[in-house]
Amino acid sequence: MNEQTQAVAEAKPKKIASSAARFEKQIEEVLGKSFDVVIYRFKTVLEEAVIIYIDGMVNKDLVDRDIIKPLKLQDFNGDVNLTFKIPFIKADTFDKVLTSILDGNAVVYYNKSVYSMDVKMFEKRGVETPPGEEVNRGPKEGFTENIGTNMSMLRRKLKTTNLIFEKIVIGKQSNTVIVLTYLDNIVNRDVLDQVREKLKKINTDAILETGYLEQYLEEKPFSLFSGIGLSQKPDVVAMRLLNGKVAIMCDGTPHVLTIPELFIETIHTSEEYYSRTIQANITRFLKILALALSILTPGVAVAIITFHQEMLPFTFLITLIQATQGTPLTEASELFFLAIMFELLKEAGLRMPKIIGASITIVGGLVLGETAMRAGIVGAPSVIFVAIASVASLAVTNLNEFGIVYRFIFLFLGSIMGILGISVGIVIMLTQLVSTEAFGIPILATFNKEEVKDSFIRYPLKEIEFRPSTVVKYNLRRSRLKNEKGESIL
Amino acid sequence: MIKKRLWIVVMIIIMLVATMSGRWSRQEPKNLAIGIAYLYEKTDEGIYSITAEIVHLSGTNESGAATGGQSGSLSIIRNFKGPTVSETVRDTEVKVEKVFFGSQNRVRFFSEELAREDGILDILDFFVRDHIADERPYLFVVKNEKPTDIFEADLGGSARLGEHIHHIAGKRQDTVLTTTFVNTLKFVREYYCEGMQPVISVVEAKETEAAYKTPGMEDEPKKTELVFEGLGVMKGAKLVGLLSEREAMTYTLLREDIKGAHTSIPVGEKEIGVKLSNSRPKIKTSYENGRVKINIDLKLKLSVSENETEYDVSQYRDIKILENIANNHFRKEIESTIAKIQREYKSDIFGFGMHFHVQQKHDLWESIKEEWDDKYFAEADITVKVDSKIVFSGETREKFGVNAR
Repeated sequence: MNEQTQAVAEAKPKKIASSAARFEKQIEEVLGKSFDVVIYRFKTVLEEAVIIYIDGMVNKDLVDRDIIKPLKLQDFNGDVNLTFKIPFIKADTFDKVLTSILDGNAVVYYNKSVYSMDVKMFEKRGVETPPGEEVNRGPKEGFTENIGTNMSMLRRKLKTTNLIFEKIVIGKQSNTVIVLTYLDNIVNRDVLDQVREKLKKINTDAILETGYLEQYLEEKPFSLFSGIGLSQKPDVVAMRLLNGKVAIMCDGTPHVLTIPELFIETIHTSEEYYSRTIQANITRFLKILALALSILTPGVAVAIITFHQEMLPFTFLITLIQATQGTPLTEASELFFLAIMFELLKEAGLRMPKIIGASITIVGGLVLGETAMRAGIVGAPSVIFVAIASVASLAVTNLNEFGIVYRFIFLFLGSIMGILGISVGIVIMLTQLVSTEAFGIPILATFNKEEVKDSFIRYPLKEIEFRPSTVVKYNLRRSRLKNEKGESIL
Repeated sequence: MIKKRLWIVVMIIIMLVATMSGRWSRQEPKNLAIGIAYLYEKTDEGIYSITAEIVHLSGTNESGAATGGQSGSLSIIRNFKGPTVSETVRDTEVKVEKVFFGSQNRVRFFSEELAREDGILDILDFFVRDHIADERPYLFVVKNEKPTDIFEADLGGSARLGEHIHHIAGKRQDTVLTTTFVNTLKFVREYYCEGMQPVISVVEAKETEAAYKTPGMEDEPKKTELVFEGLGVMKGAKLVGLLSEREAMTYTLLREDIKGAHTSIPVGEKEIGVKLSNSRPKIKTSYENGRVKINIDLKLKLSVSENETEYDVSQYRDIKILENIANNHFRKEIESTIAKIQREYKSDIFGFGMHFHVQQKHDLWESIKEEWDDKYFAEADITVKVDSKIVFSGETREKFGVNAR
């Protein structure tokens, strides 16, 4: 464990030394062992000054031009207000001084006072399109690892005084800046208070990603739904803030949490709001179809094939028998085998560098699908069923873990109990969904008259006049289609 | 907390698995022997003989060759024997290494002898009781002396007898006047219906001269072809008589929904070809002095498809004449057929008793229903009124060639 940062975190309130030399020593005691900390004591026309900053986190040009140079001028008269060319704040305790330095500020000691100046500049990734959330229509920009950039992106979308960024620092070692974001006039206060309470109670070493927070915030770690949404795009987060949600940003990661997230929202994409109504509804229908296919296909297939052959069309039954005639495994084990292999392939393709990933997919697809079939290990129909489920599951990537778990549950139930097992599985699944709550809001709560306009279907945008009332408790109206007299405005 | 809930879920699943009466007949499809046509006979010793057509699969794993290729037979014919139907099924278990699967069965044949003498009641009981056998297969009486001849017949384009009949019956149901295809469900329904007797389809493997040899096929050309003509009149579960092709038309006109069946109406020496559609006839019944009167009012729609006569079907006057000829033609056919059935078979296959039951007092029906077929139906006064309408004369008006240059 790093002793210096340990010292920073656990130091008792300490007074600032009264001379430049002693201040320098004071700092060196704590930060001196790290060679990236620059401590520079120099003379001015009046008294000595010390400047401390961390190499690589500040803009050295600014430090030279706006801090050191003015101090060294011959006509320096001791008035720092006139001397420093950039805004500064006074740090009154030693702790604050240290935090300020570690945050990436430049700190100047002059005449028994410490001035902290924000001259941060460090290497960061530019604004790019986040993979996995690409859209044809709509903004392409995504959040970055820098929280300042992220906040500015949101600010640009929602230019209102109601947009609040609350800062909370979590992590004994990391001192990570967490920003609680919400629209003051729309947000659900209950959820906001719960989230804030929970965040403040977190006592841990470090928060390296919002994934840490997600796991600290969620109520049931083994539930398939955390009730917490995830996005890397400012327009999506802005849209969710407008629906009364709380967003949590974390310095150092582009992933932003939004709370609460209802079930149906996991299959929505921002593009569905940007495109026209029919297009949006087609997309939604396909997504729901994909969800059903990805979960049910292998299970229903094995149920029908091994229990209810009379349900199969005659021609297909003949083809099926012919295809599986020489294979050693049962239909159920074939499907299990292929489904597991597919998950393996997906994982391998994801972790590999892009070029190798592509070849892994080709080799895996060819070897497993074609060759296994030709070698007589699996029958062609099983490959098709697993392929259907797999392709469908890629269309609803947000529900990945839900999809995998239930695909195997249905496969298991279908192979021991047939269609009856599938019905049992559906009951189990619905029971679980119905009983899951996200911060006090049932995740299936989308079925009242107003909210159904934006659920499985999407009404024309101008007809969605209200925000979802399960989340938003006041300031419900979003838009107005008719004036007081009942006449259409548009 | 999590453990407790997990336990509850596990317990619920175990209880469901253990207690719910699902189908435990798990069967890998590759272990199935799919029977698609069964012929039921009874030997002279009173033993059931069942001949089954089983789909033959060559066992290749090439998904492309799903039809099994050109060479080799696509089905196997096997014979099983036993004193009862279920014991015959037991016989299959030691003769075929795969499990017999009856749910894709297409057709059930009965020898005429079996249908006439023993009736098909015992066999039907087996079908209805068994959980795999279902109600879709068509029921046929085989007219041939040697019923197994039907397995030898030429099947046109189809590869297997069961499929051949399934396709013909499924697609031709409402365009064929000369027979009707009865599936098990229809038979059972009519069997149980008060005031109605069931019918059964009839098939015969007839010798044919046109024995074409398919190019590329090694097999000897088949010498027979399947003919679906006429109907079997049942009384209860026993066959009492066979209707000819022309007589079967009466049944289809009165009992089926026909849409565009080709037939021809004699006009003098010549004929006029029509496509015929019917609507279910209005049947009125009355009861006077111990005799039943039945009025049949049948409406037909005709569309001229061929005109050999000199009548001009674009002229109103000629249409009326033709309509009258058609009315008389159909009325005579219907009257003579009904009279024959009344006289010879005494079996109410038209369901007049059902109409009587609905239209007359319940007590009256209760008192006569036992004797309905043999007495009241057989002696009923039946009047037939046919109302034909020529609704369409085809794409042209006058007879082709008339008024030519």
